Amino acid sequence: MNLLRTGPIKNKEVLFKDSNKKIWYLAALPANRGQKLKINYKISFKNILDAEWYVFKKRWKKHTSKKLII
Amino acid sequence: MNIIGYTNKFSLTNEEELEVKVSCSNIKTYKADLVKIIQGDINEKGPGYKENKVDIKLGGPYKARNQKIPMGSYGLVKNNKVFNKTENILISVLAFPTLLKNKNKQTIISKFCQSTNIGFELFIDKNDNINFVINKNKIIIRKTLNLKKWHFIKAGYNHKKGTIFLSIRYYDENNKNFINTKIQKKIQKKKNFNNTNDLLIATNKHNKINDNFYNGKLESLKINIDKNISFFSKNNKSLLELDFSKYLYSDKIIDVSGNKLHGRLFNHPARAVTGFNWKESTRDWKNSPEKYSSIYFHEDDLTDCKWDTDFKFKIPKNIISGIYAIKLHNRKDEFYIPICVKPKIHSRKNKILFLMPTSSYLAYANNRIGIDVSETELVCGRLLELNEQDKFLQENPNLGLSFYDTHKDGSPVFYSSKRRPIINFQPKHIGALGGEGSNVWQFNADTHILGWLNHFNHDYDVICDNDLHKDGFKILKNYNVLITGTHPEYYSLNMIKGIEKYKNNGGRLMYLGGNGFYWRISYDKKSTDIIECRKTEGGIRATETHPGESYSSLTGEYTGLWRRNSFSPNKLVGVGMVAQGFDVSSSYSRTQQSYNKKVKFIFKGIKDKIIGDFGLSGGGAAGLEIDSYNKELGSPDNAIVLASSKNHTDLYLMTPEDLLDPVPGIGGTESEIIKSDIVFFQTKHNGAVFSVGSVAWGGSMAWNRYKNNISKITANVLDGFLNIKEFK
Repeated sequence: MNLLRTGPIKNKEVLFKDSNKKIWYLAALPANRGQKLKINYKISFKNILDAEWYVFKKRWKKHTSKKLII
Repeated sequence: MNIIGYTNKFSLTNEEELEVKVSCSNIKTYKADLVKIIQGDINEKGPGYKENKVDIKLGGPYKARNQKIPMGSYGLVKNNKVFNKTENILISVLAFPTLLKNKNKQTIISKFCQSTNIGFELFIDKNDNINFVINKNKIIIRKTLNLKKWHFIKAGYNHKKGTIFLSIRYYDENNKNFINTKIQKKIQKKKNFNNTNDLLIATNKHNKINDNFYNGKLESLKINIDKNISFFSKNNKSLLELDFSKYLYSDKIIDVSGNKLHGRLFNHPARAVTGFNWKESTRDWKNSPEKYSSIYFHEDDLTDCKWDTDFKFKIPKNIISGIYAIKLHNRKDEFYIPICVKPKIHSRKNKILFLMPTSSYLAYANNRIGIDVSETELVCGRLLELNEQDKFLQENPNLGLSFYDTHKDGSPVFYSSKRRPIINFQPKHIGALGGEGSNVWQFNADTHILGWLNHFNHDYDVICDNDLHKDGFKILKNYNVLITGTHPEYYSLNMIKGIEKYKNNGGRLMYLGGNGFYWRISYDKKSTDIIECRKTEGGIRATETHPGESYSSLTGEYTGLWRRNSFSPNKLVGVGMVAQGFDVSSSYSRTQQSYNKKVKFIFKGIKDKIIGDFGLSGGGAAGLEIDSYNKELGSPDNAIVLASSKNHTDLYLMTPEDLLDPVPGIGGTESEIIKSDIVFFQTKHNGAVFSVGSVAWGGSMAWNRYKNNISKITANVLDGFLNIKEFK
């Protein structure tokens, strides 16, 4: 888990939450201060656990070059 | 976010005037209200957000306008008639650039008028080459400067010969010799480069706005104006000779040429930094200021936005002491600027005083922990949840940095100021490190305590850290009970002494937080709006101070942890910082000592052996940043450990100052020292201290609408501290 949660700041996955809605969008941190946060409004989650699971699988694939099949 | 603002004061009394400074974007008008902050946490599992509007009309709707943030530090010497007789010029300066490949021009010195193209400027261009400009003529040494190396730069113009020249000299560490590069070219004779502009150091000016800031140290800045000026001539006629070692603790820059062309610094570039001649045998700038004759400029320094005031008003006569906020709002957005209304010096006081930890708010002001630091996800053990405010901060880094950030060149941030909008100093704010649940931090976490005091109808007064720093013990002495915030981490010497004296003069202190009294800070002598912190020796920190730079520039104090400054938190409040982790919090188990009749009042009505196994800050009362009893570090012999936490996760790790020899087993599941201790001890003249040693405690006080054993214990202590005359 430690390995999957670290890594460079550029394009690191975070969640973006609209203030009054219970919906989280996948977002990516930019490399430098002042650059725009990249929010992907096409990928959203209704709860945090779904988001964690989605990002976990994404990072697993990135690190192992294999899709996680459970 | 389309409204931001700040006020000219953190704390003020009834009938005192407050200035409000506002900047807006994409809106035409906004309204303003004064509200009392009762409880700022918006978590639906919490006790509910609550603010009360104060019956006062602040005017408005106000016309929205945008005000620029002038980020970047620089020096300025006002134009003077002696500049206007200059025919020849030779500038010499020592430069230590710390940010190259920056793709920005970085000005070292400028007295140049953009509209007429008259004047001179010495700068580093986008390719990291040094340039000198006289009017429209430019000379460049096409050799890249060396990062974090000293360069001696000379640049000049001979009026009679019509030559412009430039040289750099630096030490080549690979070949162990000095490298000299010089260049000269003929231009027009008798050029007049005088103008009425001010002389600027580390910046230039475009359309009345400072720009092209330099990153790095500058030293020994001189301007000579001898007749036969050249690389080789002996220059005696000095127009300007700035000695940055003079008045080093201030914003003054002193000209020792005799022309009295003294200047000023803006936005607090770092002083008390090592100079060209510094050697490791010198540690304290006060003993050898000449070794500290550099000033370290940053393009991202900011200590004063200098905004115009949009409106001002007097604090109503009839409102009680407490934490209020100026609420700026329109249909799309809102922004809160909290203030503390404190009692007048000779007015009747309540028995309870809440000390609003504003120096800690400043330390964390606009911190970028959640957007700049990859490891934040790791220490939180979950994906980071950002919101509009984080997005705004990411896209607007000109709001200035905190002590948890580094400058763009990687150097530590020494100064923080309130003269700027502070995004994370608002009710409703959600942080990054506040644990699962409410995820509140500093100010908004402290509103859990305020909400609790209000819920139980306690009358209390509020003062700020800056008041304690200024007035010391005398501002505390009339109160029976002093309550801290959840995370009072940054303390000046005056503040520590004030608390110590209060405690030993019958005062009763409830330390309802964790990681308290940790870093030593200095306040600017001219204004308590600005603090300095140098994270010397050890401690949890974003970066370390450079060798020889451990003494505060503002006061000359040795800096770092209070535990390394002979005033450990353990000595002051019985416990001291041992670990941090930002995922889940734990509970406390009562000790055998907690059944001692001496402390019976604390556990009145408590049957549980386990306490605080719930909460809004990580799901437990013991968590986030935790402190424990340690006799070796000064915890008093008479302190009773009432309860201790255990079962922290492995995201809780020992502090660097305790990790003397890195060995396995430093996480919460294995290390025995990772625990929070609740302690009680008596002090002189029937004084007493109750310390919880946990940032998460407040989040448990607010759990289940304040009906729980943590809330009950806190209430018992407060009741006992107010009413028990003598602890037996």
